[in-house]
This record gives sequence, structure tokens and C-alpha cells, in this order.
Amino acid sequence: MRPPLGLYIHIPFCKSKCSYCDFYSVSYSELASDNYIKAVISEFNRVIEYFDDITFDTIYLGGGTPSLLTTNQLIRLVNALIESGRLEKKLEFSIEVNPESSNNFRLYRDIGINRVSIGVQTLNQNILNNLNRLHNSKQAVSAIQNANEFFENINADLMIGLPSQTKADVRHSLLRILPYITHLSVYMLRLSEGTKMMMDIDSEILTPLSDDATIDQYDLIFDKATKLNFNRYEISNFSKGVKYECKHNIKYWNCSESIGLGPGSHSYINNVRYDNPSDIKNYIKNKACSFPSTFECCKPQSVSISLFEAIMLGLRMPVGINIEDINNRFKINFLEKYKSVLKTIDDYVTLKDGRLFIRPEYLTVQNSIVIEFLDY
Amino acid sequence: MDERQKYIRNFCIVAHIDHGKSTLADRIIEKTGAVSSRELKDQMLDSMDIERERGITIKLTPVRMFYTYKGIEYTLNLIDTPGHVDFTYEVSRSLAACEGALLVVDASQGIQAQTLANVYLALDADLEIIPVINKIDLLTANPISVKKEIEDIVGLDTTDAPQVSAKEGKNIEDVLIKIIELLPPPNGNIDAPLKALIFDSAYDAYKGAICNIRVIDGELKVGTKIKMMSSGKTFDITEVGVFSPKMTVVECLRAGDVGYLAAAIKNVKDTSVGDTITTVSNPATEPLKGYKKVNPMVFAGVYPADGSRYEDLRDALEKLNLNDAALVFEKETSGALGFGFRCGFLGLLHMEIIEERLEREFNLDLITTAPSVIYRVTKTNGDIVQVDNPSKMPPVTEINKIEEPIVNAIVYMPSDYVGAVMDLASHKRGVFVTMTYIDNSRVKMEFKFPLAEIIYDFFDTLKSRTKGYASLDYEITGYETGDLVKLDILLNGDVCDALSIIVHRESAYKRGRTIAEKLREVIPRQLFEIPIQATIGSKIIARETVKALRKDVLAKCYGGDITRKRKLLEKQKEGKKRMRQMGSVAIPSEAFMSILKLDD
Repeated sequence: MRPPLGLYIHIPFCKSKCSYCDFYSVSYSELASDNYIKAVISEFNRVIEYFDDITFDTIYLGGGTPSLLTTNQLIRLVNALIESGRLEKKLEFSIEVNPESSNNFRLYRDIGINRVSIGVQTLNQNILNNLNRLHNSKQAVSAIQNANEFFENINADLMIGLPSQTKADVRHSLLRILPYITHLSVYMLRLSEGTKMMMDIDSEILTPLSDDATIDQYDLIFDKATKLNFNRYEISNFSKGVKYECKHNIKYWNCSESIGLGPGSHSYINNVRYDNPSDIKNYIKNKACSFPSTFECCKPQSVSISLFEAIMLGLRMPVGINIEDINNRFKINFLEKYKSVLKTIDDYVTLKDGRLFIRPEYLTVQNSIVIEFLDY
Repeated sequence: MDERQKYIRNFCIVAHIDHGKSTLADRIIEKTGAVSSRELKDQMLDSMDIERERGITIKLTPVRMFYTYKGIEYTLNLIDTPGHVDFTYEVSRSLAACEGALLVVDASQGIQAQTLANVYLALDADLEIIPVINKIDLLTANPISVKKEIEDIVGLDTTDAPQVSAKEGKNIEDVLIKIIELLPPPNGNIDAPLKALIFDSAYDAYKGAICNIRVIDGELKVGTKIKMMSSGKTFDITEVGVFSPKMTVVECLRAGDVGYLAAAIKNVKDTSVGDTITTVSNPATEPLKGYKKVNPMVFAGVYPADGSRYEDLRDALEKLNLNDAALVFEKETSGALGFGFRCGFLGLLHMEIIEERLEREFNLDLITTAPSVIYRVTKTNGDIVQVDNPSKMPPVTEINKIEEPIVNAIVYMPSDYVGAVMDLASHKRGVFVTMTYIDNSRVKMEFKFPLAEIIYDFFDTLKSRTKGYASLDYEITGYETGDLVKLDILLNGDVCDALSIIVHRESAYKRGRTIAEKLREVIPRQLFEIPIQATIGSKIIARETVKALRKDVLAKCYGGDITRKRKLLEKQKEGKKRMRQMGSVAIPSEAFMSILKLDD
């Protein structure tokens, strides 16, 4: 029997574009989002009709800015999901919330959402301005505090490696929010071509932070969070115990199946990874490439790619990979196949109790270690 | 001399680089109608792309033309000459195939280093020289003072020197007339035993090695059994012809003629430039003067950037070698670079050309080690060994003395730059010999340099320090003992053989420091700390450290990022594959190249 899947729903609307963001988004209008929700529901129904045996036990409303959706839109969407009869009883249901549009926590709770993720990024006002975020540091703190009235499972996103960001900034932001959250995601700035921040850096308005300064910030977060009983269960993710780990995201790192709805979303099912085109107009009109042709025009991945993905993603987690699971799934003898690789990376990994994992002090150089497994 | 010979003129054109040699050749070919202007590409005789792009001549191309003067048809054979000091021997052989030379001098630049070098070569070959003042169309042209310069310095009469603009095709007839009037016809004896001079050779996939020849005495035709006088090897001629300028078959070539022969010669090495061809049945007793085996002066390791392309590199070198017997190579193994070749070149330009042809014509990415000269090492036990690869230098304890090749170099430049050139020379261990004023503003300086000092970046530096005005010519004069040491580079404690160099003891410290610094910049941070040490023997003279990598990964990775992440890692792996693995250290190609270009 097929294990339950994860469901990602992309809400591509933003009031303004953050300077570092290269995600697919369009500017918000109520009419467009009305039509968009209809289109998402339509895609969802096509998917569950096509794969008649799938159910979901995690849902993630991401963006863009899901908290821009009106009450009606949100209820319509959630209703459609529930009516499908494909949701598991034990469900993790997350929504991303921007601090400046965070006045609906009660509604979220009432319609069954049980996890919120708040995009704090930093509490330094100057840096928030550089990022082109719409909220201020006060709003960020009060958003987390408000969330506590309705939710137990609360995540905050923090960014590090930002231009002009100091260790003191990071410490301040971290310590200010940690008492109110159960989960922390730490993202290093990744500069992407075409973003405003990249242009600011190219024209020397902003100076990028050095790798060493960035990793110092990461180490600081790791130390403080660990002291306050947060456990790093993935390179960028910390939780206050197993209970609060994000089950939806863990599916990605375990190469479990998942469906993504909306333009620019990605799905993985029946060993096929397929993407929706980043084009909201055609998505709404249900024109051009839409499900099921998005799925059908893609070939299943080769075994060697899937195997590498399993290693690449599994080793992002400090618990690493279960060797017997890999052996069974790919019909290989992992230890034999990678004998010489394991010898090469011997100093950086540990093999224990049937699991292979990267030693904690080397988790931040995971790329350099996992590329040794690339042999196709 | 028979009647036919009276109407032949064999000549070449010599000039300093960029003085318009190839353009003048084009105009002459055009004027005589050997090539219609429709067919005429710029610089007809430079057939390789590299030659045209760099504006230099590498392979010699002869061309036969007809010109009617006062009702008589003359045969004019033009033999093009390479214009670079690396190819001096080839120049001397093509001069030996002629009776006269046009000396082209730029009307604005006057005499330059290679102008004189070429004049001396032409005088050595006993040629009649006609000075030609070119580029009179230039605003800065000063033909009168250039003529005076030629008279004063070279001692040639310039009263009747044609003043031309090859670019605009002006006064070209004047040159043709002077060739006929002033140059002597060839005076060989058609009835004497065959003597033909090979002045170039090339490889043709169908015909085998093609010899470009000048027949001095006798005659040859298809079926003649010939003998190479240096090696004694014999061949049967399968084709004789002339270049008009396309290869055109003729019945026979006789004393005074310039043309080619094919004789099913499989290896171009059997057609040594400068060798004399004679017949088996009636051989000449003495070969022509001046044959010598050309020896490479500059050596470097050449490796494929992608180690798996070793076989491709070998094939490519073999193919180039078919046409370029001066290139030598033998298999070499380096701890850092794997399998490759130690190649010998005539000089740095020759090396650059070969590298460029390998990359361009054979689509290879190369890693080249620092060029080296041949050192003569006398060991403590009295043995003398020739070392062309620094990593092969015997241990210090076994060395009695190291000798290195020395050149005599002549530099021409405006007198403003004397200071700059003296300064450069002192950095390159140059020993000043003499300085002569050519006129009020220009000087000729003579230095002695170790060859090793001028094969790196000397010419480029000289050019940049004199704003491009200096010109250089040099010749090897012998070997001298030098206070030389082998500088090793250790990465993570192991000697990286491909980075070893031989340097003068005085500059060793500075070089060691610069190389170590440069390597620290180009070697990427890896999972562990990498010490970089420069050593002489067991003494560490410089040390740098590539710190351990601390992060490469903090970007998030969710559903949409997986394929992107995988592709990123594949790219990273590809990049790593292109690097050389030495023990556990990955070294990028740049690291090997970076030590070639170290500014002082």
C-alpha cells in the first residue's frame, strides 16, 4: 500500500517582492486570487482522480504569501481538500505567514491548520529594509506572540549571511524569538541572478558577507539553540524535540512522494519528478501544460539518480541514512558499492547501528562530502 | 649557366615583424597575375589561421610567378620566410635557396632588431639585397631618414630603393623591375650531379612528406631515385611540381628551379630542412653547406586537462609532428598531472603556437608546466647529465655544478627607454655588453642573458616597459655555470612535481613566496587545511595555508530545490573532476598555469 503523501500548495501572490527572492510570485489582487483558488482546486481534483490510491498526511501552504488569502478563499480551498476524503486523520497542516498580514491565527486554527511558520528573517530594522520586507521588527515579535495564543507548533524563519548583518544582530534576533517558538529554520542568503539584492551588490550598494562571517553566525545559532533544547534535525532546521519536527519537509529528505499544486510547484510520484510551469495566467486558464500532461510528459528517473538523491537528501539529516532501507529500495549492497567512497570520506562520516551519517562538525560542508557518491 | 636560367630570379623578402612583408608578397603575386584578385585572400602565403591572426609566418610557402619585362618573360620564385627569432634556422635555409632578398623597412619605424638580424643572415648567405621602403602612405612616414639609416647602419646603397605602399599597391612594378635588373640569375650547372636543397617540408595525407626544394645543380623528375645526403635514405620520386601558388605538376625541375617533390616518404623527419638531395646513380660528392640538426631549446610538460584524453593528445602531437619536425615529444608521467608529454620547442613562440594548435585544431584543453631550458649538470661522480625537466634534477648532494644556456640578445629601442630596459635586464640576470646610438633618438643595446630568464615573459615585459617600441633578437652562444637551485612546492606535505622550477638562488626566496601566495589564492578551500610550502632541498623558504572549508551547503533544500541541488552537485563534481588529485588535495588547472605568469 502506498504511504500517505505530502501536499504542497503554492500561493504565488505577494504585495511586494523581497529583494533576495527568486521564487515565482505575482502581485496580489483579490480577483486573481479568487480565480487562482478555483484553478488549484481543479488541479487537486485531477490529481486525486488520476492517482486514485493516494492520500495525504501533511499539507503545506507556502508562497508567495498564503496569509494574503481572504477568509473565504481559504475556507473554499480547505473545504475542497477535506471533501476529497483523501486527508489522513493524523494530519500536519502548515501555513506560511508574513508578520504584516498575521491577524488570522484564530481562523487558521479553526479550519484545521495546526502549524504556522512565520517569516521573521531578522529583527534588525535596517536589514529588513534592505530585504524589502514589509514588516518591522515589532510586528515580527508580536506576530509570534499572537500565534502562541492559538498554536503550539510555531516555526520562525531566520536568515543569516545578509549584507551588513553582524553576529550581535543574529544573537539578538534569535534570543528574542526562541522563547515563543518550537521550530526554527535558518536560511543562509543565497544570491540569485536577477534579484534586486544581486543588483545592489553588483553596483556596490551592498557588500556581501564573507563565508567565514556567515558560518560564524550559523555556529552561534547552533550553540544557542542547542543550549535551549532545540535539536538540529536537518542542516537548516531545529525543533524542540521530535514532536515538533516538520513532517512535511522530512518527506523531501526521505525521498517520499509528494504533490505540489500551483505554478512553479514540484511533485514527485511514481519515481517521476515533474514541475508545473511558472505561469499563473495559463495555469488559471488551465491552458498549455497542466496536469496530467505535466506528469505524463516526464520520464521516471533513472535508478542511479534516485539513489544519489536518497544519499544527498538523507545525509542532510544528522541521523543520516538507513543502509538497509537503501539496500532494499535500490537492490544494492551499499557498503560494497561505495567501499572506496567511504574510505575517501572516512574522516567526515560515521557508520553506526546500520546508519551512515555525517559527523555534526562537518554537516555544513555536506556538499563536498556527498559529491563523492556521484558516480553516474 | 644555360639560356633558361638567365630568366629566373629566386628571391625572398626579409623584414622586421609588422613591416609589411606578407602584404608586399601579396601585391607582387597579384601584380604578376599568379593569383587573380578574386582569389586573393589577405596574406596569401600565410595559410594557417594562426598565421593570419597573429600576422606571422610559420610555414614557408614558395610561389612561382611570371613577369614580362622588355618583351622577355621572367620566372620569379618568391620564397617566404618566417619572421621570428625562434625560426632563425629555417630563415637561413630559405635564404640559401635564393640569390637575392628584398629588405622591407617600415618608413615610419626604421630599422628594428630583426631587420638587422635578417640582413646579417642574408649577407651570410651571400645574397644581393634590395632595400624596399614600405608604408610610405603613413602620415608618419619618413623615407629620407629611413634611407639614411639603412645606408649608415646596414651599409646598403639606397639611391634606387623602391618606395612603396604595399597596402595601397603603390610602386609595386618598381620592385619587380629592380628584382629583374639587380638580382643575379641562378648559376648552377644542369649537367653536374644533382644537388637540391630542402628548405621546408610538409605532410600530405595522400602523397606523404612533400619537400620544398631549390635545385642547385642537375635535374630531377618522376622516377629519379634520390638519396638524402644526411641520412643516406633513398626514395623514388613520384611527383615533381611548382607552386603557382597551388601545387602544379611539372615534368622536371632543373638547376635554378624552385618547386617540390614527393617520393612516398612516410615520415616528415626524413626530410630535414637544410639537407641535400642527390641521385643514387650519380651522387654529388659534397652536400651543400650549412646543414644542421635543429635542436629544441625550450621544454615543457604538456598534459590533457582531462586526464582521460591522453590518447587524443598523443594522436594530436603525432599529427602536428608530421608537419613540424622541430617539435619533439616523449611520454612523461607526473605525480600531480598523470600521463602527458615532455615537449621540446624551438622557442617560446613555437611553444605557444603548438599549444594553440592543439587546443584549436584538436579541441584539447591543456595544462602546461613552466617552460624549462636544458641544464647541463655535472655530478660529484663526474657524470654529466642533461636535465630538461626540473623534477629530474639530481639531489643537491650529488651536484657538483649546474650550467645553463646563455644567449646574446640585441635590443633596439628609442633612447628614452634605456633606463627601463637596463632595469628589466638586471632583474633577469642580464649582463650589459655594449650600447650604440643608431641616431639621436635610437639605441642598440647588447646583453648576455641566461636563456631561462627570457623564456617566461621577457618579451611581453620588454614590450610593455617600452610601450611596444623595443625589438629583440637573440642567439644562443653557449653554456655557463650558474648559482642555480631547484625550488620545490609541497602541498599538504608532498612535493608537487609539476610545480618544481629551477631558479637562481638570489631570486628563489621571492619566487617561492610569490608562488605560494598565488597557489593559496587559486586552490579552493577543501575539507581539511592544506599547507603550501616552497622548499630548496629540505629548507622551507615560504609557507602559506589554504584554510579548511567551513561551509558549502547552508541553502535550504525542499521539494523544488532537489533537482536544482542535484544538478549543482553534479556541476561541482565535474569541476572537481577537472582538478588534479594529488593525494587528497584537489588542484585546479589554474594552479599549474598561475606559476607561468608571475609579475616581478
